[in-house]
Amino acid sequence: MNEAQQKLNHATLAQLARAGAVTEVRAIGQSGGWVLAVSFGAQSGARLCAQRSGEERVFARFESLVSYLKGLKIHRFEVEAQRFEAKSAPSRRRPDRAEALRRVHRAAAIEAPLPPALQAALQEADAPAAQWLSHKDLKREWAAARESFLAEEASL
Amino acid sequence: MKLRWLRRAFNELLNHADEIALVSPRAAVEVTDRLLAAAEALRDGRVTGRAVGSGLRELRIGGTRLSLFYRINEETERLEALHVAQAPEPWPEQR
Repeated sequence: MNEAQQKLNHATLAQLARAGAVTEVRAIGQSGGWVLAVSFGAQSGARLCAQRSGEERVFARFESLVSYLKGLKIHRFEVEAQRFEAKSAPSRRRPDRAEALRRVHRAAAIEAPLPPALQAALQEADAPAAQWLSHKDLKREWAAARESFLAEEASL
Repeated sequence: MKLRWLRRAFNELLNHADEIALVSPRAAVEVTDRLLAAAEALRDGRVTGRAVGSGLRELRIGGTRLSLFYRINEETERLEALHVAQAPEPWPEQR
């Protein structure tokens, strides 16, 4: 079964969790964050997607993911960290490197390596196939999402 | 100056809004509106935010945990919003 093709959004996950229908939750590490794979009924490993963009939801911080699941009263889940890559690689300290780093910071703090998510955004922006949105179009899309948030608020 | 958004940046913003909406949908609206207002204020051409390298700047949205990373494309004379990130703690309110 191709797990990547199955998706569910927050509203569905919340319903399933409330109904006690979730059989397994896995946090799967990838470059720069974590995604959630949820099993319920006959579905195995459906990926949690953002409600409005429909894109796979990536939690940059593990703490955010834990808070999110706790909010759904999901307190136990599996962790697959094999492919997880932290945003910044652990450094191996070398005295010459430390001094060099101090010099770099003193001279030009702005030349620090960009975080991976920012590097990825920059690469995407410079690619010919980059998808751009005018601010006007964005405001139009946001207006629709905004309405749905306010409707959610009103229904609470 | 015209402003355009990388689709990924807007999706990131919606993801953060979704997360905030788990606690309060109204707060999700307020935070997103605040970021969009700050982005619109950039269009007057005043360079604001912290330089982070590679021609990018980080605009921290006071009172929220969000930052908008943007650049000025000199060739096209456009502002380009590339990335929206969330910090562990809210940034101080701007004066």
